Amino acid sequence: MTKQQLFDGLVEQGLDQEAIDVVKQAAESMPDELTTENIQSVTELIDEMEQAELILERSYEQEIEANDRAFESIMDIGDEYVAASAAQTVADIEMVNTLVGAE
Amino acid sequence: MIENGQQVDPSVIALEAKSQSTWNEELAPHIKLGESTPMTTAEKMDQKRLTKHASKEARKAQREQDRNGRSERWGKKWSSFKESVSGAWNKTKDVVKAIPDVPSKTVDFVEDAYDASATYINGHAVRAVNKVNNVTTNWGDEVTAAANFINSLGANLKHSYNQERLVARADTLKSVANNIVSPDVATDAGAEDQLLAGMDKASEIANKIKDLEDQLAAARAQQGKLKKAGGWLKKFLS
Repeated sequence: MTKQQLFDGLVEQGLDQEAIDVVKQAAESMPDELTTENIQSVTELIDEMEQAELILERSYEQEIEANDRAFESIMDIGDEYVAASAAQTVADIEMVNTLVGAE
Repeated sequence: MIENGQQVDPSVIALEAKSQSTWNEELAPHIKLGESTPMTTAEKMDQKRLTKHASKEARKAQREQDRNGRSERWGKKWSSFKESVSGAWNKTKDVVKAIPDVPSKTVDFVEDAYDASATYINGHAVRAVNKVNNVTTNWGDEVTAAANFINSLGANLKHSYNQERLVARADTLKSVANNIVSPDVATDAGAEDQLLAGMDKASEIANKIKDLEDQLAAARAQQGKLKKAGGWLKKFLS
């Protein structure tokens, strides 16, 4: 396999230009006709990049979950507050009505 | 119990359900399940893994469903909250205004009631603000832990491309954590103002989640492309 075939193949597989540039940079010192060792090295690089994406995915998932919990907790607090203040207002109104009725 | 038009013994159904789901021979060795072969340790582990996976997927689906309704829920909560905070006194005042000749005793009582309500609602708001701050502080701790985790991995990765991306992500997470740990709530503001600021924070969180979901989708897409490319290259090595 030649370097050009490698790059074309990666484009065909749908890899982004940014990732291909990283592979190109790593393959700079490699001969035009790639050896098995060269291909192995590029494969390891791509595996490593995939691993990094998985780590990023996990971090996003973790942050989303933490955000979800924070959001839900604040919503619960809002519920409590609304219920408490509404109950107090209703109680006030009822007491005023009762008092006015009694006078 | 009737099932498919036939009378069925509920204990049989329960036993069948057990044998199909979480049957545990060690916990109930006296019950034999017909001709079935006892599961090996590997099979049990596999079943545990599958159960765990199914449960994780179910939680994920539930979260997804919750997220879809977040904006709508937030809108409703916000209106209800504003009505409660801003409209509470007006409602009471309206009742008093509707009374043609308010006896002096009633006026005194209403004033007392206002004071009592203000103290009560304000006290509740203070507690709620404290809760919001606790929640956001805990969240900050979690995000900091995630950032530290990424930092430690980034240092071990060989390629600068990955290191840069991961370290940048760790920095972002730390910055998010710092913003959350110190909510932008004026300490000299009233409890209700502070609570409103806390609720604003929840609105920010909802927007942040949307952004994070977009970033997660992009990372997943990139990971899928890299996996595909790696699989393609491995064919040349075999």
